[in-house]
Amino acid sequence: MRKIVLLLPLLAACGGRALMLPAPVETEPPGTDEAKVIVYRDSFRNATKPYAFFDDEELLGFSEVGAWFEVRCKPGQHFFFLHGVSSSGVRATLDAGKTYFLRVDSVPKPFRLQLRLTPIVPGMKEFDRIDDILRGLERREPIDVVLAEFEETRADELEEALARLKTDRIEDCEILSGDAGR
Amino acid sequence: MKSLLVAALVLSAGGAAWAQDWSPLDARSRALGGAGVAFADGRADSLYWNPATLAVGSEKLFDFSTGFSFSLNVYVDSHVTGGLAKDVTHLLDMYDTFDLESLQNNFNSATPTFTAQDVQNVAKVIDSVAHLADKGKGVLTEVGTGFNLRVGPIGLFVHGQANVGALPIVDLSGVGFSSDPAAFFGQMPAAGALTPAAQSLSLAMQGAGLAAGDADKLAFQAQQSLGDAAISDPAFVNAMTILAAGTKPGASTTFYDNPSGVMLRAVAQVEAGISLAVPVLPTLLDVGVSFKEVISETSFTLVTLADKDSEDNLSDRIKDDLTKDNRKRTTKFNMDFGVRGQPFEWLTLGLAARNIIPMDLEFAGPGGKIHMDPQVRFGAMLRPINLLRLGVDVDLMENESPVLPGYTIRHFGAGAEINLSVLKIRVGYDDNLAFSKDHGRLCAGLGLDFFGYLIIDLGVQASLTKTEIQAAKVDGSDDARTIPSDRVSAGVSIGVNLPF
Repeated sequence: MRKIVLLLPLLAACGGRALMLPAPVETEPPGTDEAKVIVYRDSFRNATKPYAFFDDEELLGFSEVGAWFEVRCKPGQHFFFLHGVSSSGVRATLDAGKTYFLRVDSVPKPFRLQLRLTPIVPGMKEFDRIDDILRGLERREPIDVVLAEFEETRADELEEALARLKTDRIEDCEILSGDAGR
Repeated sequence: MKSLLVAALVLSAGGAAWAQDWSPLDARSRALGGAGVAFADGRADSLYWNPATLAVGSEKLFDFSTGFSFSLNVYVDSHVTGGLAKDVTHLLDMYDTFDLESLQNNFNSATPTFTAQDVQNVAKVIDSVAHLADKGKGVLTEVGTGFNLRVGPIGLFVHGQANVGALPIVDLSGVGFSSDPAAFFGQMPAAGALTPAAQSLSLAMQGAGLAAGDADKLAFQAQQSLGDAAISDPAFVNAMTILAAGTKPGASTTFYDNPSGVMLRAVAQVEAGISLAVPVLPTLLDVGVSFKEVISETSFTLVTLADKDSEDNLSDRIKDDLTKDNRKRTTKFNMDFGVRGQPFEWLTLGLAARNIIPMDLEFAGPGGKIHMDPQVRFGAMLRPINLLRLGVDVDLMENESPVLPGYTIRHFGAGAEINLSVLKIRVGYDDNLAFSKDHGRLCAGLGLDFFGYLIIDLGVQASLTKTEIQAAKVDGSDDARTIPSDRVSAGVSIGVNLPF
């Protein structure tokens, strides 16, 4: 038994470390010179796998099941990009002072899971219920060191995936227009 | 879903197949009522229940990011069905108390001296022997151990399970009451007024060849000893009829020497193989298969009731029969197959088939082989809240035990798991829908999950039905002995999970 107890810290050290940290639920509205984007994942599928979320080539955070995080961006054109077992993108135009919502989920396709990044826009039921949805999830925030390390170690793979999305699959990437915020 | 239900109905419509009990190998499933298919969730243990669970967490073909895990399991299970222990001890007690060996010599003598009470005592012994072979009556003991290794979607395993069944055998063919019928019936007191039940018994024995007067004498004494209800029982009538037919001058086998007793049938199996799962629709539908080599060893021995008087080295003979003289080995290739679906966050469905290629095992005992058919089980798990999982398993086929013929099995198991961060609390209920004399078992267990890497599980099952393992002594010198449960089992598992 003593040996087992001694082994526990070793076993714990073998595990993966946290990619995101819990954060206070309260959040400031976007300023007049910025837009806020909230990325949330309420789908249960593949709960153990986090997916990396980028604004073009810049890694902004990891989407985890049952959690949301926010990013603040300059107004204007952006290409948001989700990467994991597959990739998905959103072509966004952000207006200053507005908050936008992106849902992360996945669609089971034959022998491969297809990740999906979906803009939640006015007219959708989720848009009307978004505050309730977020209340049921935990807010997280990224860890800068982890982001940097991930970008560095996966640079080639990420560059290739982003390039493929922007060229071969650009038409599959949904559009988030400026007036879709609130 | 509709096709799944149709398949279930088709399979359910069939008769009993021969198959080993699909016992919970891991302590977690044992604590959850044996609902292993329902709760199979990607742990290394799960591949025993459903190889499709190796694809849990897979996002693509050959996704090794799901990690590495292994588990070790050990369990024991002991089960008394239909009160065999009580019946055998009662019979042996009667053999001793009535001094059946001397009594039989008296019955065979040309100048017998036995009394009416002696005949009535023998009637009691015959009644007990006749009921020894009621369907499914016996004792089952099982031990098992297993090692499972999961590396992403691939599993390796070695499982060992040994079953021993103690099966009562009643064989009165060619056996008579006495080797000197004329002297025997001459000594027997005259019959009094026969009740309708005794008349009916007498007629049955006359049909087997006894003279009317002799049959009346025997029927009268049997009625005096056992009463009308017992002598009308078909098993008793059948036994008396066979004995009547065997009662001939110079008969070589008389009742005391009848070869009835208990047969021990044993099947030990070691299966080793490799499993692979494919995420057909990742996170929604997984399919898995196991390829394995099954090494089976069978053996048997027969211990007659009279053996206890005639053999000094009975235990040595039993040991030699089971381990050397009557031992046969068969090696066969076989496969398991499984499907797992998770249509909603709160619902997981599993369908698993075990040993899908029917096997004939070499057997030195009666029949020359032991046949084993596939088993099919359906499981469903609900997760109404994150902390709680509820699962149900049911066998879609009724199986007959190869070590205890007549004992049919169709498991129904239900369990609940409270999933705290380190501590897992489990309760369950396990029942056999195919054998009415079986009693449901309450199940419980604890799991300790240290940081998600080291897992220790304990599980126990016990029926809450007292069972008599020794009948009260005929001479009143000792009371009946009972144990609080007719089936108990316990298991322990240790597992390690490491992410890549």
